[in-house]
Amino acid sequence: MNNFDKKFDEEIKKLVAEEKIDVPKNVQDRVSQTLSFLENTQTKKKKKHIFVRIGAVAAAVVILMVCIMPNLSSSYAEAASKIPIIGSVIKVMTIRNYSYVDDNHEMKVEVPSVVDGENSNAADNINKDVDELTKRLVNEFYAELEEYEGANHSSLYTTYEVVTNTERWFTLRLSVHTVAGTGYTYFKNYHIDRASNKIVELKDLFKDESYNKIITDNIKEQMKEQMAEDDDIVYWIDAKNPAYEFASVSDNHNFYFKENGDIVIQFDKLEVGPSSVGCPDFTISKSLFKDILKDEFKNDIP
Amino acid sequence: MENAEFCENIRQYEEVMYAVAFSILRNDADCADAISESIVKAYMSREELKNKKVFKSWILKILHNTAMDMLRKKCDTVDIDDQYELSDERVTSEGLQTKIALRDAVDSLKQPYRTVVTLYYYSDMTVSEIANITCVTVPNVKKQLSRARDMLREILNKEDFF
Repeated sequence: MNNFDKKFDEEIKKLVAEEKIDVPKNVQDRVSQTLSFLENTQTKKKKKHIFVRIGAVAAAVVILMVCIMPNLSSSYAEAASKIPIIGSVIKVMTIRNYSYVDDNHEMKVEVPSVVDGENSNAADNINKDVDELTKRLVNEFYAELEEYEGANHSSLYTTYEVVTNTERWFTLRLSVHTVAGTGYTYFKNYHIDRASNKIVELKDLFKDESYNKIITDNIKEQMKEQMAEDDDIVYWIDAKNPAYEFASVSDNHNFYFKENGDIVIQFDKLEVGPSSVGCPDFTISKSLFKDILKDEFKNDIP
Repeated sequence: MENAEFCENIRQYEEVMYAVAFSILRNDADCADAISESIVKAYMSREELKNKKVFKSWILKILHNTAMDMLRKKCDTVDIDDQYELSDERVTSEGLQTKIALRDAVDSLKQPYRTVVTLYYYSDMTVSEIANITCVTVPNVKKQLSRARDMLREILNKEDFF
């Protein structure tokens, strides 16, 4: 900061100190009302020692959110009705929303948080990764807005979905859609193996690396079949443009399990074909890879 | 954090909370909603606040996120900036015409400058605290502040403020 700015800041801070912020009565009243509500709530909570004994801090939070918040704020009541509470142990809820709207730009980013009753590092690591990714996306959105001084057109949307949530397996999918000239969509799937409470990537499912060729070959076969059936479908597998050509799946490729144990491999937009094929996915039959699955994944997955 | 200490902190920062909420929502009824909702959210997660010294930036971050979320819903139908026009002169309680106050000059700025200026000058937040609260990188906060200073200078010089 130069001296000119420093002097300006000093002048402004002097003016701010002289200027009193008048909090309107309705706002003051709501603050008092909310604080006294919370004080009363805590007194009641102390009487019901059973809550404390079972160590259910999370339960207290849920009670506050379900019982108290809707009474204090109608907007909260509306938002809370959209919070999905899934499964018996792992829960996922929106902890943050980023948003921005003007004539040329729109951003709607939902940030999920995974709450695992097992208190595992896996959920923490997913939350950290989701947090970093969404913050980076939001920062980039604002940076671009700044750079072009609002003269560009851009959109950013992220949503999430719990794909699988069983006693054995958990999959969360984060979808990101950006528009800046052309639209681009990509996914990020996170998996927790509930038996070991560890994050699992595609490569972790298999005993050796032979899975890569088996899955890649099968996908290419399906791509060729689709192209043969429909002239409008194009995948980049014919080496006309080596820079784009789909070579193989990666160690951490996006996937999810179907109920019957088959694996679905997902591709982002423009990853293996033009925009017209969107975000294609390919089902790999369990019969193709069951022999190379690690023993712990041979049975009850998902 | 004990209940009494929590309430005391909220009372202490009530004015800056209102200023920040107003910079985003520009409507007292919405500010009351956003502040009330933020207090409950903060109360529920107060155990997570390990360092009590950062209570102010912590509650302002919760408030900022809550208010932005409310604004998103509101912006679907209304252009907030259109609701507000800067009045050059205000009538004081004594009935005298005065020049615009600094607060009015700040309120006349567009977003994100209004909120950044409110956090920097009125809430006494550092650039890195603002970056954390508004989820913008530090260089971008500096850029926003620099532009906001230029805009404020222009408004205040026109008003012969200094």
